Amino acid sequence: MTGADWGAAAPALCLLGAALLAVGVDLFLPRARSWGLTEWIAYGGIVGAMGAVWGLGGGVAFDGSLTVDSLSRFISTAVLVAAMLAGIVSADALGPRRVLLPEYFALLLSSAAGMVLLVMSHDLITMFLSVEILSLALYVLCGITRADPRSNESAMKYFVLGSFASAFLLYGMALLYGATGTVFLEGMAPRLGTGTSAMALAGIGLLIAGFAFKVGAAPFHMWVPDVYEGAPTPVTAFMSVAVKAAGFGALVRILLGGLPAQAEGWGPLVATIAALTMIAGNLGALTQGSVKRMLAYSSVAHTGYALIGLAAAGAPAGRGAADGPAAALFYVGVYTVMTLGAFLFLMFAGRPATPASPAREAETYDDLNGLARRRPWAAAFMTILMVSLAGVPPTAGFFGKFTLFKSAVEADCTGLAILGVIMSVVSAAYYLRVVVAMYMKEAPHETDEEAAAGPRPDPTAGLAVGISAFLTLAFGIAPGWILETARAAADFLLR
Amino acid sequence: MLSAIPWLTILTFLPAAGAAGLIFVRSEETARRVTLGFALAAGIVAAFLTGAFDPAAGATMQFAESVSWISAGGLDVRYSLGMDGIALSMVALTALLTPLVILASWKSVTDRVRGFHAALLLLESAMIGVFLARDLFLFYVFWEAMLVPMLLLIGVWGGPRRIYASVKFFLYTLAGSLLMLVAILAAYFQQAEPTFDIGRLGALLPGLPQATQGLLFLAFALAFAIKVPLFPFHTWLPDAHVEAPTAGSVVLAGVLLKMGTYGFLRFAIPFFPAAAVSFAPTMIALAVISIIFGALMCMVQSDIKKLIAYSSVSHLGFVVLGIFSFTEIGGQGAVLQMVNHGLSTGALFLLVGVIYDRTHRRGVDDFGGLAKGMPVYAAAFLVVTLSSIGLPGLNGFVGEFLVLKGTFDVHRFAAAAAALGVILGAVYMLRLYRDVFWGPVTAARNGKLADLTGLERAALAPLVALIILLGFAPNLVLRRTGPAVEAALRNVTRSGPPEALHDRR
Repeated sequence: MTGADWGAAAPALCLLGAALLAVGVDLFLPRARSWGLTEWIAYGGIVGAMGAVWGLGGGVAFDGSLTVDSLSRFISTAVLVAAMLAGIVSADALGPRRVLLPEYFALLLSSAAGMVLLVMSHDLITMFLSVEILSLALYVLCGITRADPRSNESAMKYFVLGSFASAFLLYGMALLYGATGTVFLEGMAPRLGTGTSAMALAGIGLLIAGFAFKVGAAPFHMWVPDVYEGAPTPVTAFMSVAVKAAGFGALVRILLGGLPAQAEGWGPLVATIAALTMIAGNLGALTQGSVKRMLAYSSVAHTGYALIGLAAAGAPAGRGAADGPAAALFYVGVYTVMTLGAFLFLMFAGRPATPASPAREAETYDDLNGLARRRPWAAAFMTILMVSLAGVPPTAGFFGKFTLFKSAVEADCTGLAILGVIMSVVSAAYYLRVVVAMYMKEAPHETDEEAAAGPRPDPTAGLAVGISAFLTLAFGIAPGWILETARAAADFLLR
Repeated sequence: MLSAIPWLTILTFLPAAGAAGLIFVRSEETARRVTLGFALAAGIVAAFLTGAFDPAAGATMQFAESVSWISAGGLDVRYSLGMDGIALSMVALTALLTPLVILASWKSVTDRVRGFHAALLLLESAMIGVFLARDLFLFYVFWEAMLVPMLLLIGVWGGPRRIYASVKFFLYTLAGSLLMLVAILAAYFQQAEPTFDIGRLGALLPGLPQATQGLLFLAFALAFAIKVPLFPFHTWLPDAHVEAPTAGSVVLAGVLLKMGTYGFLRFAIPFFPAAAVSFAPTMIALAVISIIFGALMCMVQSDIKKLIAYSSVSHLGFVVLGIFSFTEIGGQGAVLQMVNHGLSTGALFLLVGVIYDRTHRRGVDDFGGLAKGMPVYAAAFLVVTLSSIGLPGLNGFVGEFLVLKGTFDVHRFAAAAAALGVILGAVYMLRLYRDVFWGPVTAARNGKLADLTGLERAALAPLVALIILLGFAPNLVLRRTGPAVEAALRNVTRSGPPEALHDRR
């Protein structure tokens, strides 16, 4: 192995090494000591991976199977931040629910390793393997609270439908291989030329369908609400953002890095999916009674917004411009922060455990009633996140949508931009319901004094929500750095 | 030395700093004092800037600041602030009204006091920012940033239907402004060298073809028409006004509505003059309908707050009429009327708040003969009522007269119809005054109501004083706003540059 190989493999090695170590420690140490330790091993693995992502040199590795570039760094960072924030809330939330924490952390890290590999992969085989690594770990994670039927249902549903999607993906890859005779992305463009054979088009279509499933885009989004609702909330938070980030990274790499000349074929397809996804996600979210399901549909909707950037890159006027993909990547980064915070908030906003009853997460809007009195900071943070998801300045969500709509207008896809703003108004209606419940409704039968005297919720969840809210504001007021990074990632591909 | 200090940044963010400071305050009384302190400090800065403002150069952006904000990713967004005459008048109005509503809420807001004042201060920052922004992106950020504090003010501290009213307000405004965002982006890409600088856009965009201008004008105009609000986009206003707490109503009527008319003057007309000219008849028709419709709605209201809300629709119709008359006199009157409406309607909402605090009633029928027990209150109410109906000698007269004069020169029928609105205005306001203050005391509880307290007098006195002062010396405003109005309407003014009003002292 060359230095470049080690550099490319290092983040995944850190994560997988920590995963193995966590399971191993559990074998040899008594449970009371090992559990606390595995948590810290996991954090160590994530921090090490982050160091490896940014510290080690880039370039092509493993004979062109992996590429370390600004795109992989950008997405890996989002994935690792998500893993970290989801990780720090997991021990306190899942320990009492009889989850074997060493296994849990090992699976979380494996999944993250799959994602990090996915955004680096530069050939179809590695890509498919990475997708499977991340997905298999997630199937188990969804069902990790074994005593909870909803968690079982979630895992089952995700597994069955996810396998379908993997089959699509694999079939698409096979067709693409048949059309080009190579699995390497950089080899495809020269062999396809500017013409498009029916086989290549079918392959691209199936590939997009497979990834659309993974990122939860319409019409392949049906699984999202059920799976997200049933999975334990830290897992939901992690998968809702990290899978999407990795999936987008891979899509950007395939479509813009490998098949830029076929934009005539995939451009309209992506634009259609973007429009459908925005409509399905927002209208679906509007009618939900459960906040978690609402957030699930909202994550579908946000996939749709981010796809606008890819659609703009595929539109005739936007080809070759970095604005579309840069906007999509920026939005994925911003979305990661906002949505993580929003899901973790549900854990913080619920009823903490008392000697008499176990902890319960906030589920319906009514569970949030009067929260601003009981937990003013949490309510303020959640308001920032909701406002940002709705796209109101001065938050990151606004700036993200702004860059997306800008790229759409620039690429003459004004229709998508207008649909996006109309859907943003629709989305404000359901995001506001959260704010309304927290600030304008009163909790039943509970005075301020009772609430203040009651059990305190898990502070780490509060911390994670606070970090998300802070980053959401910071990226909105000073988006320069992250936008520059996203643009560098997109520029690199188009060179 | 003066120019080295970023006065406009200080003015814009002083209230926001106060809101941040409230985090560290524990007691409610201290929170009120801190808030008042910051609002007064902003008021002092605004007063100082009003004094230092050079009226002769009223069309130029004074105290200008500009630094690069976001230059990444092919964007060129600048943080640039500046103040011309129109902005000055609006900023001064904002900085005046905010401390007054804090005084007025001193006793009446007792629930979640810190949050209330934080929202109020954040709102003030956003409003000042809207008027001072010289970069279209920055403007949009301030324009939208104002939504959340207002949502909370109405929704948390409002009346029984506050949730419905606040969400309706939010969604209506958001719908309008998001379409404007697409138009802003479209305008951005219409130029060879994309920019958000308002000055440069004003020079470049008028060259666009008529069809493009038309679409962009419509998108901007929709956002502003909802904010004004112009018939038929007004339905959020009565709900928001009725349910909002006194402070919310005052700020809403006093400042927020002006952001719509300000937008027409600053963006929609100078950017797209050809489209503005072709849509002017429509706008004038909507303005006249707003005037008459608003006034007719006032005639049948039994809720005092709702009546005043509809009177805003009517009065803001005058402002739009003046602007779209495209005469300098009309434009001048419109800006003066924006200030006047802020003073008189702000005062009216404060006054209604006074009796609402005492009785928790707002119906016209709930009162009668109040003049006997509350003479000072009755006197203040009378002055403000007369100002609102445009009695000569008070501020409302000059503005209305200028608008009608400007309109009459070019649209006789519209001016005549609008004049009918003035008459109707006198009818409903005087009827309101008669029913509430004169005659016998109709309900026993109203006989014992206390007259204005010291706090209430302090909140009302500056407004009443200005109402009288501007009635005699409207040039205090016109002198400063004149050149800016002339510049804003330069591309659309009909009959050459008429002799400027501000020179005829």
